[in-house]
Parts: sequence; C-alpha cells; structure tokens
Amino acid sequence: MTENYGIKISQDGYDVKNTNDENLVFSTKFGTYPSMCVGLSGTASYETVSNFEDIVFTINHSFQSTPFCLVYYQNGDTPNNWQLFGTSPEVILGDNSPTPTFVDFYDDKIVVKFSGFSTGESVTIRYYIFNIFV
Amino acid sequence: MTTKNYGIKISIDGVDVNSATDKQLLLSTKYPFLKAFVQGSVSLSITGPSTTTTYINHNLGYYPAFVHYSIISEFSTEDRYLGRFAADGESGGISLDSNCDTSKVNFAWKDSHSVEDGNYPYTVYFYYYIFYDSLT
Repeated sequence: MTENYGIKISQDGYDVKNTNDENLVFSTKFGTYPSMCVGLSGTASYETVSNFEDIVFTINHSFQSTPFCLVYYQNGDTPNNWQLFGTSPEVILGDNSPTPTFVDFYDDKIVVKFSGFSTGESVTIRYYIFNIFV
Repeated sequence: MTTKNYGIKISIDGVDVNSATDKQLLLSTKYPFLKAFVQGSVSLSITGPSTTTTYINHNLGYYPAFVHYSIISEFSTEDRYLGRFAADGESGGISLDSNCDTSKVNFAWKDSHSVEDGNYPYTVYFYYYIFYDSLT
C-alpha cells in the first residue's frame, strides 16, 4: 500500500481534499527542502554626515550558512515609496539617490551598500533573511 | 523557571524532528512565513526605445513586501531577471525597476537600445507576489 499522510492546507476557495498541489498554501509533501520561512527581519536607518558618503548596513545572523534574503529601501527624498533592492545603478522609478550598490551574502552576515550620497541624506532598509540557504 | 519554547515544527524528509536543526525544518512557528496576499502577472508591450510603466493595485493601505521576476518572451528560457536589474549598464541597455506605495506595486521597464539595435517589438512579463507583511 502506498503511504500518503501528512498535513496540507489549501488556499481560499479550494477543497483541500481534492485540489491540485499548486492550490495548496502548505503541504508536508513538499518535504525535501525547507519552506521559505523568515529567519530574521528588521529595519535599519542611516543619515549621512558628509558628501559622497557611502552607507553600509551590516546585518549579523546566526544561521552559519549563506541565506537567501530580500532587501527593500526607502530614501528621505521619496518617502512614499519602497524600492526592491537590485544591483542596477539606474533607478527608473523614484529618486536615484541613494544608489543601491550591492547586497553581499555571507554565512554570518549580509552587507547592504548604497553610494553617492550628499550630506544629510537618509535611507531606511527593511530586510528579510530567509531560512533557506545557498 | 524554564524558558518557554513551544509551537509547531515539522522536519524535512528523513530527519528526526526531535533532533533536527533549524535548517532541517520544513516549517517552524519560530520562523514565520511571508504571507502571500496575491500573485499574478502583467505584461508590457515594448515597441521602441522607451521607459514604460505599469502597476498592480493592492489597496492594503500600507507598504507591503513584494517580489517579482521578469522575462522577455513568455516561452524563452533566456533573459529572466529577478527584481531590479540592468543589462548592459545605463547606456544602450535594459533596466527594470519596481517599488510600492500604500495602494500599488509599480513596475518599470527601460530599453535604451536604438531602433536598429533593439529587438523591437517584444513583450516583457512581470510575475509578482505581493505579501500581507508590511515593510514598515
């Protein structure tokens, strides 16, 4: 007899007893790799004190492996928008300062860098470090 | 008095949940999920050198976490970009960008290739997830 047991949760509007895997919110059937849980999240802010100052955020974690993460940022000039961090030097939507430079991933920290600031410019980041590892 | 440590945890296949490390857990209430609010796709028709924008309404009333990737040509295995990206730098290249406000997630696509050098017209597809989780 084929064993088929565990826990599964369907999305709204779908009968969990007969729906396809793609309509599940969660299933222990997908048990080979950990789910994309948020291991650590938070915010950090900084305001520059000199021209052309780079801003570097170092977020320590204790996962002992290199995690996947998402970083968003908001700068003081366009406080009504949060940008998804990328490696592009060109910002099409919103203000181009600060310029997001890189996000580096390590087994004990992530490092987020912005460059090209004038004095008195500020940036806030929101980071999610996930419990899945590269 | 002992430290409180309770909740639900499920280990990945082949690992004893009683001795599993956090990395070996499929799920743990110690680590919350990003909770998906909506997923979908939008497309932009690119007919020449331009900056083209589109958006998705979420109307959550706050700034939600989101993620997206983009592809050129629905059936191509090339040119798939995660998040914000630029190919070929600022001059003569492709850039894409995204942000959110309290009611929308905005996407933008910029192609600076000349009419002669660009592969116009083409369609770019944004596949997105917007989460209930607030960025603020």
